[in-house]
Amino acid sequence: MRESAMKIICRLASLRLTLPGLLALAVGVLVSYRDVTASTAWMAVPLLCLAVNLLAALIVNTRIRSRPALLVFHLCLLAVVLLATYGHLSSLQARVEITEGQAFNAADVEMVREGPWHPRQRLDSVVFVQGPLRVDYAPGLKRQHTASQLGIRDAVAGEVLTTIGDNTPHIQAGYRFYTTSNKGYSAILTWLGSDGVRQTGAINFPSYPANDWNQTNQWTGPAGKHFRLELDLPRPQSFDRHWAFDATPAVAALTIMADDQRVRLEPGEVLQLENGRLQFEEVRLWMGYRITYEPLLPWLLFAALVGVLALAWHFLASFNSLPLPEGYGHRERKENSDVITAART
Amino acid sequence: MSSLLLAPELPWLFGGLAGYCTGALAAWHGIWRDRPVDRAVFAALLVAVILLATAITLRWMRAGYGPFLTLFEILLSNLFSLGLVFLVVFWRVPLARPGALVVLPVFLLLGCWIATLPPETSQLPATYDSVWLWVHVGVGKIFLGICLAAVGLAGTLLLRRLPGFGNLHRLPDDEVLDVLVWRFMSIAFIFHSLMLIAGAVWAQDAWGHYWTWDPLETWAFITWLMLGLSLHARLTFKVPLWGGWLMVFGVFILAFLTFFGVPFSSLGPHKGII
Repeated sequence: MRESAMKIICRLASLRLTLPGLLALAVGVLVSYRDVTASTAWMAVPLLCLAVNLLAALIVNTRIRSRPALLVFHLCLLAVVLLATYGHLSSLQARVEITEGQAFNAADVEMVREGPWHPRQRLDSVVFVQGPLRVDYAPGLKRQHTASQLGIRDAVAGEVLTTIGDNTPHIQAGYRFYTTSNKGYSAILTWLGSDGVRQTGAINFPSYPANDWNQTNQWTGPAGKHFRLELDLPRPQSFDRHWAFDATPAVAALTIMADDQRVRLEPGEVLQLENGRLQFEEVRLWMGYRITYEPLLPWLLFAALVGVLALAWHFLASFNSLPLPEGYGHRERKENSDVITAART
Repeated sequence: MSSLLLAPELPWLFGGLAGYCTGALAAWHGIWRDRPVDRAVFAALLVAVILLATAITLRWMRAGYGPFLTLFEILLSNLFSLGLVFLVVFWRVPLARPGALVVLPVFLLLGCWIATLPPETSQLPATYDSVWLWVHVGVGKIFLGICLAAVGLAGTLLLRRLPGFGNLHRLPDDEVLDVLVWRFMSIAFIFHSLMLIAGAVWAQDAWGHYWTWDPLETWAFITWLMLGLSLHARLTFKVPLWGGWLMVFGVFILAFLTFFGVPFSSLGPHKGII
């Protein structure tokens, strides 16, 4: 029984299986490159075969086991596959838009991809408030640096402001919040119901300046009535010079359309409706964030680095144990200074 | 004349290409005439690398950012980095010197290509303001340089199987040079792996995920797979020497297309359209 099991493991460990496995993985990569929806199976099957092949080789291949550095490299390779797989299953990719002064709310998060093992309730523990933001543009509307301030509650210092942007994410509870090119203006509205209810919220308009020609959005009021909102901003300035998206325009108005009505409100003005009043408070900025959750990212990096270093160690040891023929090493270069012609050696 | 004033790096670039041309002529002259030319080739390489370094510096001062964005910049920086890596190999590993017969004409091909491109500058995206970009690009250039050194030697070994290259028969045995070819490929594998790791670290914070299978990542990974496959194949099967050298060429062609083709034929984030 034990012998037959070893025979099977020996067959599974064959290096001859590694090559078709690598080729199949290359094919899988190409297929998923052309068709993202087909990626999981095309990648998972060759990876699984290669992982089994590698695991078997680690058990029975004396060539690998007798060389510590080579063994560490292959163990790390296996660890990278396992960590990446676990990371994929427990990861989260999502996005959220937050207006200046608004606190992060997990309910506003729009999922892009969520692994089955992702602990969703963990997102509720994230707490921060959006502060001022600034995005610089070079002439020709080329986006430069982004700086977004977040108010974060600190156990010792109270609420502190931190600045993120570009290559600097905000990391909290294992989630990484990245600023994106998606940002724009929000209209802050307050609903004053005839029943005494008072609600304030933000309506985000399409990303600016990418959609400066279309600053419209839909909104359904507390009474169930549908409104079409249009933000009237000053004429777009010339983008042929340096510019920064960092403050609300001095002059901005909100046009509210419902049924045949069309009302233009300045900040602070109120629209009287059937069941209450709608007040246009002001215009603020909003920032779109990309959220990622990869709990084992540092370990993935660690395994990959250790693996490469171990392989480098293995190669170095191999080179030293099998030196090149005498007379051709760099120490002898004076005696063999003309190897292109090589006639004299 | 006006383009020279607008792009002061051009005279230095063409000077560097002239250096590579001189080196190539010297290397081939040495083979045809059976003359000692190593010093001449080394000197030509050294001068070319210094001139290209000057060209990069002048362009950097003009554009205000490093050579990372346009095809012109990437070819310019690779003409420098590949030359520098081969210069070090040429100096430290005499056995690899015959590779100059193939490597220097490759430089000239890159030189012909860059001569057709406008030396326009662009805007460096904010995500490129990262130390990981330097690490990623740096180890990537070392990978390509060492892979090219292997290709040079493999190409020379293939050349000597052709009629008319009698002088090449006086080089060491195929088996000896083959060992060196695969040592270069092994080292190249290490640097390619480091390039992927550094790129993933950069991508994590620049674009929010360490791996998104964009065209450049996909083709870089396929190159890595093929490099690993060729190292495995040589160990596992009795691949004839010439078969192994052709595999080296295959890996280099894949890497070459990944470096100089994919970023400029796709709308990936690496292109700088962000």
